[in-house]
Amino acid sequence: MEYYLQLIINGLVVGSIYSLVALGFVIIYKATKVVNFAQGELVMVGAYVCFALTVQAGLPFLASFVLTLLFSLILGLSIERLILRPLIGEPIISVIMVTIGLSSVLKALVQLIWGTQIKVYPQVLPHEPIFLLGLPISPVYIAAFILAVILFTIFSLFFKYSSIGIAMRATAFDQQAAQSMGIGIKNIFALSWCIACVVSSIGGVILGNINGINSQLGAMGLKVFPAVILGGLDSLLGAALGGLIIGVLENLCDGLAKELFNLGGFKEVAAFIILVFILMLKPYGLFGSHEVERI
Amino acid sequence: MAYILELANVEVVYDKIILVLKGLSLKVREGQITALLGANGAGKSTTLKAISGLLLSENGEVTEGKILYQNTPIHNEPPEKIVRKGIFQVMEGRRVFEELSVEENLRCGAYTNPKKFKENLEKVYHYFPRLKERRKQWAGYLSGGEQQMLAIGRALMAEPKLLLLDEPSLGLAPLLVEEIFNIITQINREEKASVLLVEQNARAALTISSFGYILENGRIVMEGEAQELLNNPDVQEFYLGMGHAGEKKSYREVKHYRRRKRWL
Repeated sequence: MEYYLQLIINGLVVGSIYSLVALGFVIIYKATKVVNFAQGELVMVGAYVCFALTVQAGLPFLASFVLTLLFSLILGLSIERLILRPLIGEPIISVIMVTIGLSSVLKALVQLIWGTQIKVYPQVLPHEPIFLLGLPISPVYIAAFILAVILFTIFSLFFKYSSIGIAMRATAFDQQAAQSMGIGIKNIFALSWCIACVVSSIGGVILGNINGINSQLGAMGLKVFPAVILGGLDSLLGAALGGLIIGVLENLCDGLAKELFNLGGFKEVAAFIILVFILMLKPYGLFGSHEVERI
Repeated sequence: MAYILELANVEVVYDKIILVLKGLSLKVREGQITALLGANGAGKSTTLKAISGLLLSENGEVTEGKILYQNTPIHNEPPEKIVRKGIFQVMEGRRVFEELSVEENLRCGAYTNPKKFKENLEKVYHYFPRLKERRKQWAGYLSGGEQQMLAIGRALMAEPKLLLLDEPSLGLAPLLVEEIFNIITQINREEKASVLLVEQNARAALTISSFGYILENGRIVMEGEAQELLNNPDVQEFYLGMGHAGEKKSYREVKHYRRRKRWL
């Protein structure tokens, strides 16, 4: 029993990171209808920048965390400005291809600068586990989960109550009508990329603290697909829940496969098997929008 | 007579090849309602989009002539700048944000004018009490008439000096059309907003306007005081559905090969 509880907790932690990355993914999709294949690489870049600042430049972790956020803000802005803005008006499929290209470029850059070895973050939080319901849980897990919850709360409030958040939703629904209201949609696009980069790099830093980082971290971006498709491509709540559910299911499946059939490495495929089932049963996901029908 | 907006010999080209407006000139009187009438595809919506800048997102461009708003040229400026100058277009087909609540839609309208949000919100609810009842609902679940009210309400939130209305009567029942047109006159009078009104419903539009233009094939073919246009026999035959003598035309007498009027 304890084994399975442990699996669920691990799943929730990994899932909360999936949720964060999925959040970035959904925001870009909602605002621009672009499926961003470079999302995982944004996670990786964030993780490496924070690593470089803490370990190589010797800054205190908190300072380098803040600087990383700043860096990803600028990264998001420049990606939008240099790569995507010239493509406004082009078919959406070309833009999606460009994000695939972007993912390769980012990956290559990271390998060029930091090599392909696993890098380990310095110890930030204490090592001794905290006991919760009699289960030992590492503090970094708890911090990761809490951080994800806080970020999600902030973003849902932002989209519900702030003018810019509402304008972003309006733009996602009807770009031209939004323009007719005086909403500068180019700024909205830029902002979505900024948010996507920032949440991804937060995810990256958390992952780095848990597992260490290597240049395969970008594969994380693929894992986010089942999460967003489960939640519905254009729903923030869906991204949150989808991430958590995929995280937990993936860990449970993996644990079961190990226990019952002595199979290792099932974790890597579990999420995609779930994905196939979602697509068969509920192609719009749990919260994805069909259009509003008036009767 | 003071004019808030002046179009002089405006040419609009879509995709660098399709000429839609061919030297169109018109003026909108300060503080009054000006009607722009014409058949489908005459270029009415294009004219409004050329003014509001929304043309740019459809790959259209003003290639010749100029658009002067309060005597300064505004053609080919991005829409967000034009809205901030005080021109607000209510697009054809209402275009409410269906997945946003009524109040959120109104907040979008107030995007360029957030300071007086509360005050303007009350004003909109005063004009459209039905929106207040449904303010927490998704706009997608409103009826057609309510959606049109919301679209106009959104415009009011920005306190525009010039309101561009594109077919506000589209798809509405006759009673609702009357209600909407009453409110347009009321807004024009009380909010001191000049209006450029594009309509297919020529009679309703001319009744509330002071001046009217008739657009065909990208050109103005006729203009005059609204009352004059209403009494003009050609306008009556082609836009108001009456026979030569001004009596209502009966379908029994309509010939299959209808006479086509050539204006020029």
